[in-house]
Amino acid sequence: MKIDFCQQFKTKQTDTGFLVETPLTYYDNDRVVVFCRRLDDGQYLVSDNGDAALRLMFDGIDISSRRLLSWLDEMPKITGVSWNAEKDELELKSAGNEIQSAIIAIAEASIQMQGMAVLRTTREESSFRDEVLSVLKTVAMESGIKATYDAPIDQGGQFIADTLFLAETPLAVVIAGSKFRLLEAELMWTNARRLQDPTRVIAVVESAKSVGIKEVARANYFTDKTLVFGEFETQFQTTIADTLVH
Amino acid sequence: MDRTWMSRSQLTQVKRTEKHLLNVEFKPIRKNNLPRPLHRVGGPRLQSSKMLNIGDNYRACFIWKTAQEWEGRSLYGWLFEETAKGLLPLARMDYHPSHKPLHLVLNCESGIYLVNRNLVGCKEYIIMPDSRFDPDSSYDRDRFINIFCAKLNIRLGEGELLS
Repeated sequence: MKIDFCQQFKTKQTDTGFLVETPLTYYDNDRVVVFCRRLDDGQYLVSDNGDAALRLMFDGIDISSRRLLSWLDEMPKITGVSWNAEKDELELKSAGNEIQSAIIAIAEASIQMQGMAVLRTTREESSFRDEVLSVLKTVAMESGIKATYDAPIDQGGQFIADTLFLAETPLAVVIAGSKFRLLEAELMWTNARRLQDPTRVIAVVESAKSVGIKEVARANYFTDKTLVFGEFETQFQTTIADTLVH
Repeated sequence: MDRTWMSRSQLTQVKRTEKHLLNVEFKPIRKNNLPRPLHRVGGPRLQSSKMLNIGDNYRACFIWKTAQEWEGRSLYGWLFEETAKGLLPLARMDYHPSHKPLHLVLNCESGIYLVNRNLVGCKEYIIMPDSRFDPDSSYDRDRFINIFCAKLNIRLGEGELLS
């Protein structure tokens, strides 16, 4: 069987040279297009026109982040493709007789660069909150203790607990996805003590590293407990359930 | 649980909701000028509007990329919904003449968590197969914005930008 791959690559003249529309696609369904701009010395500057970088920017990725830049730094040694930080473009200078390889190298680098979208952290942060809430709902169901969510725990409504268990001694759980939120938990606990409010405050962090080891150590003095969720989901569930009945 | 992607009927409801865009002004953009997920957008070839409040929880933003050659230029119009966890992209209208006419990417039945993200893995519709714009022309950028508003049921200013 003879397969004609060439028809999948479309070439078009431009004012500065030509472009090649490849059959490769970015995650948002746009094609990888490679621009070949003619230089004064007769060579071509082959580039992705900044399309790969723009897609990362649209996904909230910092293209000047250390991890991304270290990958880009290695590219010239591995594939010959360089990163133009002024233009945010992948590029490769090529003589006319080598241009096919340069076009493929740029297209390949563009697709690989798109894979750096894994550097996003938003989804992880969001799933942490969802996972903790799921455990807390299970505790509420199993214990029969009523729980409310996003509930204010002071009269002024300044402090919002992610979950408030309406036990004999109320228990507020704060999901601390950031240092700021952990600090809020400490303020909640301090404010409750000041008002002689019996409500207990437990903070939960994804890992000590995620908000800072010192911060977690400090929070244990200014909350009833500060727990690490991470790989201790079952232990977390048991601790919350035990706290509710004691 | 927050909504993170849309069904067809939810998207139809978004379209029906009254929205109002007063004015769009493009300015050079640097990192952190815009909120997530566009907070990393910046560069010498890019200009954008602000993140515009167009009513209720809806936001719109426009991005223009210039280049030496017409084929390297592009225009993007975003429609977002503000949620508790961040901005959920609902639609993005693109014009990049390197390989596609004017098209609309919709956050519809993707099954992907898209809050604070680009519209990846979404449905795409060509809306004007024979359209031709020059993103570097302010007249054509206004045309683009007019079409974006017409497609997504957004009332423009007192009348139309081009009136």
